[in-house]
Amino acid sequence: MTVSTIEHASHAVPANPPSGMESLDMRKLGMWVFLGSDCVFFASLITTYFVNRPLIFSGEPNPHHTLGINFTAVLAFILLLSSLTMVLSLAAFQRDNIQSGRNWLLATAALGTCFLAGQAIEFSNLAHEGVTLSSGLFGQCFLIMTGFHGTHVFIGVIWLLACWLFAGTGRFNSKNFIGVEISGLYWHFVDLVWVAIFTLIYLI
Amino acid sequence: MTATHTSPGHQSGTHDAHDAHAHPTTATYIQIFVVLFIVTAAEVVAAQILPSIGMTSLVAPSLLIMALVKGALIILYYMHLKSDSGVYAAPMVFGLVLATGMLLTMIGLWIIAPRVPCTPELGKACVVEK
Amino acid sequence: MAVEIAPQVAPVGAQVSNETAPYKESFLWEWATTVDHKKIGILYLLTGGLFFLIGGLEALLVRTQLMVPRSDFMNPDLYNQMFTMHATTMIFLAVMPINVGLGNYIVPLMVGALDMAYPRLNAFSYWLYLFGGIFLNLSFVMGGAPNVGWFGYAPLTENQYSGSGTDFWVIGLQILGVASIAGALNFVVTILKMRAPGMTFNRMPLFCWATLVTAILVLFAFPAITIALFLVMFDRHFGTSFYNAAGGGDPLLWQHLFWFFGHPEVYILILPAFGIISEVLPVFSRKPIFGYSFIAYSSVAIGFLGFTVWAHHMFATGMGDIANTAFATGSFLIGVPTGVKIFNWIGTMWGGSIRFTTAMKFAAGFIGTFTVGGLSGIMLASPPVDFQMTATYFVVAHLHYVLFGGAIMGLFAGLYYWWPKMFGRALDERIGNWHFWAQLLAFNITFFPMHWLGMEGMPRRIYTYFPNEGFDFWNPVATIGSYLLGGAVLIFVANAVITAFRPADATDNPWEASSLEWATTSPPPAHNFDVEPVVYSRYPLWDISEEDEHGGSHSSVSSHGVSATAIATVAKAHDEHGDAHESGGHGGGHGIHLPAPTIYPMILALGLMILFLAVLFTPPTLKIVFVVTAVIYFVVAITGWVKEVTD
Repeated sequence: MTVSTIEHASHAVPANPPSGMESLDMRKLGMWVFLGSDCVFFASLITTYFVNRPLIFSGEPNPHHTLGINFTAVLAFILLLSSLTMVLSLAAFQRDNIQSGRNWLLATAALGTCFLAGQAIEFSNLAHEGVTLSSGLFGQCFLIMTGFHGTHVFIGVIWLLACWLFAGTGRFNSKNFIGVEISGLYWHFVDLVWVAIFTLIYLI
Repeated sequence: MTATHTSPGHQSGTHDAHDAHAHPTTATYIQIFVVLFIVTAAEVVAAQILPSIGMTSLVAPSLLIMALVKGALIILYYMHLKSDSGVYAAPMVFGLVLATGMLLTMIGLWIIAPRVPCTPELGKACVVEK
Repeated sequence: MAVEIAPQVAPVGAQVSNETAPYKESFLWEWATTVDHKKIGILYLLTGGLFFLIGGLEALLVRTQLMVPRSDFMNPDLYNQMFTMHATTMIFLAVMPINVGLGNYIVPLMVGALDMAYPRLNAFSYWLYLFGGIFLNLSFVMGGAPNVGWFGYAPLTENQYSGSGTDFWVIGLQILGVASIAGALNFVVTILKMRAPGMTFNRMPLFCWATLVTAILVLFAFPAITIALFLVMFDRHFGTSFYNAAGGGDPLLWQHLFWFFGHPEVYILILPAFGIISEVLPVFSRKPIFGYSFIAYSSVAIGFLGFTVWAHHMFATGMGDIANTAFATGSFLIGVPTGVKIFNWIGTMWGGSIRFTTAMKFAAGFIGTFTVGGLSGIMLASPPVDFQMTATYFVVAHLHYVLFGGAIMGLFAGLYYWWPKMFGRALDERIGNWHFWAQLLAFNITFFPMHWLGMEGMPRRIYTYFPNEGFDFWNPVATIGSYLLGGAVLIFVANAVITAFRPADATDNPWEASSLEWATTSPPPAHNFDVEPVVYSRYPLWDISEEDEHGGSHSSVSSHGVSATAIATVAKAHDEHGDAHESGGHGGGHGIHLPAPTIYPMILALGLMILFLAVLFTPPTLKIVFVVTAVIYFVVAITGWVKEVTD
């Protein structure tokens, strides 16, 4: 073919052209995609709460009279603090400070457990005031939403403890910290959801 | 498939110098936390003070703005999106846009056609035994 | 799932070369433990094909019941089970998995990758799908199949209106949802991250574009139905009343959450077919696709707009004029990118030197039948028309023209096209010809009369009708058509069986196609490519064909100036490594490490199915025992999985 001679002339393209995504880490990308998807899970639950909100507030018990804002503020504070310890853990692994990284991981898991305990106390207090799954719109919308978030926290705590165990074998260091990083992404996302729930459900 | 394609050679995890440069320091993390803490406290105060001084209409907007600030700080600094590739951000941004769109549209739909509480006076359809 | 991702190492990460773990186990064990995207793809295709036949059988029973007025072939309840299971099976167990199967096999090859991004998660998705499908169908023998329709409108799904079939439906769809989300995550990361050097977005095959958009739709649409089903489960078993008006709930909420998923789901079913057509048409027209970027970006536009129009399924619920107008406008808008695609496909064929192979016939037939479905869709997007047509056979005609005339025709085009690559032997063209014409004819005989039935007012989902209401003539016609359609599909099955006994003599690139999957052997070795392909244009293989004896057949390519600006140098596997055919995973000589096979994905998925069965069908006291056993089982299985990955 005559055309192919022309083509040969333009063979001088780079030997290893980019595909556009070389710098991305595969597992981190997967985690971000999953978290994007997770947004819609929580959006569906928050939407369920909000379309019922006018009716929820027209009756008793309703959120403004039942939910203790100061107690929940402490829970929000605990989760924010756990985000800080999480990011400090990652930073420690990145500096090859493995013992410190493990300690921060354990602190994060402990704070997560405190949050879960707080949530358990809150749920049982609500039950005493008659707010249960079958007590009406407020109970069902609120408990399913915060329960779903609590399940996320629970999975996160288990994951953090698994990372802590792994780190004990020296698996994480400044060359390989992606396992801690993606569990951290998940953990921060759980915190992020609580920022939304705290504002949208408890305060507004 | 050769090693160049899938090896961790380009993964962020191996670029010590890059990460040390791009990721914030411990001091930054603590500063962010202090800001998050103060904004949360401000939220709690605003939610209780504003209605009592007659500014009920300001509650929702001010709380939403503060929540957005908190969320943005967490995503940008704790989740490192400020220094990471925008490709990581894309699914999250799309998810958040969809989530917001879903929430606002449905709230709007229920405002256009509000729901009447189901009371026995409305007819037999409302008193199905559970 | 989140737990699974954490310890997973990059695809080479398992660090177990096949030299140390060769496939020496039995045939069954080999397939049960495989993490090879090609084998998983074939498993998806086989299982999907089987469920397609089951779903088809259910459709034939529905049509038999409707053949004559006041028929007592089935009682109303059985009829309800049949149409519910027909739709659920076809959507979740047939079309979606066959799409995923083709994607699983072809996409990694197309982008020049070794495997999917997360091979074990890929296997897990398949096993969840298989056991989810079995779980759903077990309902037939365990208290009756679901009978609430595939969109399970509340409050029908509440426990005062429906029995254990609904539980099977709710939990079955949850299992399938997890499988779909995990699979979609895999596709997104594979396509974003694992493309061969040089394959920029603008050089990516259009099937990959379609699969990418489909996977994104799955990821962002399935959460809505997962939550919606979750709430149904709580309504049925834990005393809430989200959808029960008597308890303060709102049945309409179900419809909104369901269709927030349900409408994107329609595009999840059809977009892969768009992608297949965009691959098949240029190859058999022997010219590049007309308007590549328009086809690629219109998929993105369709995907995005698909999230904004869900309530057009709900015009009749009384949302008010403002909402109806807004959702109608969005629905009309979707016609634009879809029309763009149709004109681009016609433009691709225009002036091409067309080879009417079976694949090409299905692709060309797709354009016609899908356009009919698209046009009736635009009619239904108008609220006044929808008020008249909703829940009639007009809707049934529309959705079958889109899903059978669209998705299934596209899938058959893809199967005929990629069959030689997947199985090393092409399907018989003569039988294929019979299959195509029989299917096209029977399809139109079955579904076109439904337009008229619908306009006459025949409601869908009603088990019978009275004589002399205007439904007496076209119903038997449609039923006879459906029998013919069943026969047409059997021709395909026969084709597959007959050709299976023929010698595997397919060449690497029998259709003279342009994309990377044709650069390796048919079927490809376990490691796909001996040498990593490098891509310099949208049509890597057409570029190098210019240099060998096939060059003459692609003069149209050159005259369009495509190849002149960009060149591909693809190193063909067998050129460098003659024994690739019999290697079966022997890639050690090239330093290629394949992920080790593992049984844990199957163990985990099987455990889930058994757990749900146990929870549904055991007395309360035993439930505790089962849950505790299940927790131990899952801890052991997950630990085993994690250990396998990290050791």
